[in-house]
Amino acid sequence: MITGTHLARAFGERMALADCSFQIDTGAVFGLVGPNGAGKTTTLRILAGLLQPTSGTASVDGVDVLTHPQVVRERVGWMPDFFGVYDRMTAREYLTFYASCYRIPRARIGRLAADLMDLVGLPDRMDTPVEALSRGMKQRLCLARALIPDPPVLLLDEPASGLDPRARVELRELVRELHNMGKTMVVSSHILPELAEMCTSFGFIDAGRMVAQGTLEELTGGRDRSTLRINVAGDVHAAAAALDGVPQMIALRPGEGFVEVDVHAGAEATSAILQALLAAGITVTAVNPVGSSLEDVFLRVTGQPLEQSA
Amino acid sequence: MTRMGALVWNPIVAREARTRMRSKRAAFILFCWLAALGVVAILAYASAGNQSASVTVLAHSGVTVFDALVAVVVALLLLLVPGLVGGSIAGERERQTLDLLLCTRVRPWRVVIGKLAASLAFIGFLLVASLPILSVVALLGGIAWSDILIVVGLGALTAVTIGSMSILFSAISKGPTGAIVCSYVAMFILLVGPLVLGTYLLAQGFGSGGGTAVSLPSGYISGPAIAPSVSSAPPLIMALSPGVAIGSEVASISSQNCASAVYSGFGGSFGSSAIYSCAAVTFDRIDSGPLNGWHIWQVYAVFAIALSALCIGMAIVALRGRVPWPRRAHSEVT
Repeated sequence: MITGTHLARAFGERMALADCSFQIDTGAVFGLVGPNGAGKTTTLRILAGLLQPTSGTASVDGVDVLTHPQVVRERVGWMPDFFGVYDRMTAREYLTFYASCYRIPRARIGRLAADLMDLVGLPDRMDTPVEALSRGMKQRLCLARALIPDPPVLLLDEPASGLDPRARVELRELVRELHNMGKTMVVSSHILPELAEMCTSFGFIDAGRMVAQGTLEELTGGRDRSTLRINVAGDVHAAAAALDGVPQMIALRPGEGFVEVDVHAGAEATSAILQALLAAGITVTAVNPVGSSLEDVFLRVTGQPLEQSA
Repeated sequence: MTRMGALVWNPIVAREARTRMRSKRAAFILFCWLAALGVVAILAYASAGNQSASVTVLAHSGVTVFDALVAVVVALLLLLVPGLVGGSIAGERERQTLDLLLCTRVRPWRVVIGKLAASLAFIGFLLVASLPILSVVALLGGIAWSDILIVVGLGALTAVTIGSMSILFSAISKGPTGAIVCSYVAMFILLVGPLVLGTYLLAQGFGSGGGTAVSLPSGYISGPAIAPSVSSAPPLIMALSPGVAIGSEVASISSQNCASAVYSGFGGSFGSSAIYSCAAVTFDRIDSGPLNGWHIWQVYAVFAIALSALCIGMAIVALRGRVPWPRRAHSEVT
């Protein structure tokens, strides 16, 4: 388990973190969501044992980062938002170097490097110079480096940043595989669709504070109600009249070319709404849930879109 | 790996050595180094006059070549070391690999020592590569092996000292450029500062008539730049400059060997009364005070070792401060 309690960190006059508290279950893939400068990297660096908080406490895998930062550093696989590779080395030499730094017995290093390259999908790139690898490959090589000490916890700072779509898909698959291996992961990003697909729970950080935390279901607030935006061809008031009296409906707001309907949670509510519209001869062109994406949650909890916060 | 082996083995040295030797820059430096030594050796030998004469004449040529080679080697060391060492840790910081390194089980002291050793190993490699050229001196004679070893030792110590100063700047600077510039400035101050200060004090007549004095080596021939037994602190200050320490030792060796023309090359020793015009020796020994009897190079060696230890210690402290360390005494963590 990873915990942070009232974490604060100041850089001179600027507070990068202010009273940030969170709890991450063992085995979870936790998405740390927030705009640039919100405090994501500062949080991760504290959890990696690389930065001392100004106040507050944190623990990783049961080890206090304040009293045993060196132990934490050895139990955490840290992948920063840069590649951190050396030129004029092959991928094998790169992993061998870091394995030596972790004091892995020399007899085990060759096998370990091969296994890790296999895990990250680069088995045929062992003897490729690091500088010749693509951006996505370098990212995966860095993930392999972070996995060298077989850490129970992985901290990935903006892992999808700058990757092409294919590399992102590969990274997502890799994260899923590591999740299946039982690793606890904290993945920071401001690219929300990426996080939504790879994380099991989320924390929203804004201006150094954790403003919301939970699973997507918990965060979207959809336990008992949800909102649908229904685009219709024709008169929206006719559509509104058709929906009047549908028992699953809670509230209705007509817009330009659409109606927003608050309904009780559940698939039957959507079905009932659509049936009512079709029965009234209304042509429905689209039905979209509103407020159920990470972006919507972020907008709700911070009061502004992610792009404006950044 | 045994416990002792794990203590000595430093993966940073191995990585640095491997990647450095793969760079075109390393090959270029090696080429320039050997070319400079070769050219200087040939020019010095040619300028020494009649090369077909007796062993004593050859010995004189050996002294001339030795003087020239030492000057070039020291100058190249001073030029190379700050550039090689200054960017080492700062380069890791710029590449943002320093944190990754400190996340491993490599401790800051190992990073500092590893970086310094790796850079100095390259200097050692250059020196080994230049042995064929340096052996010309032994072939010609005029300089004893023990003298060569002292000068080589002083050169190595100077490389370590300047390297230690550079590694300190590398540990505290944000980028390699600043670190390298500071390293060159510090090297220049170390080289010239004591000389300027000592000369200034001498010019002011500081300390004349008491305290520490200097004596000339037995091989002193022509007029000294500093009259014997006229000063106290200035020679001690001047001795802190690697240029003065190595220069005085080389001049002392050259003048002694010129005066007695002792040929101690491969062919053994041959006495001769022939005297050639050797370089003037200024001073080579402290003649009074608490360091009475010390050679200038010995004073410098003690200072250089102390300065190196101080700089390395400060670099380790600076690097340790980059990441948190236990607040309390380390307790067991399961």
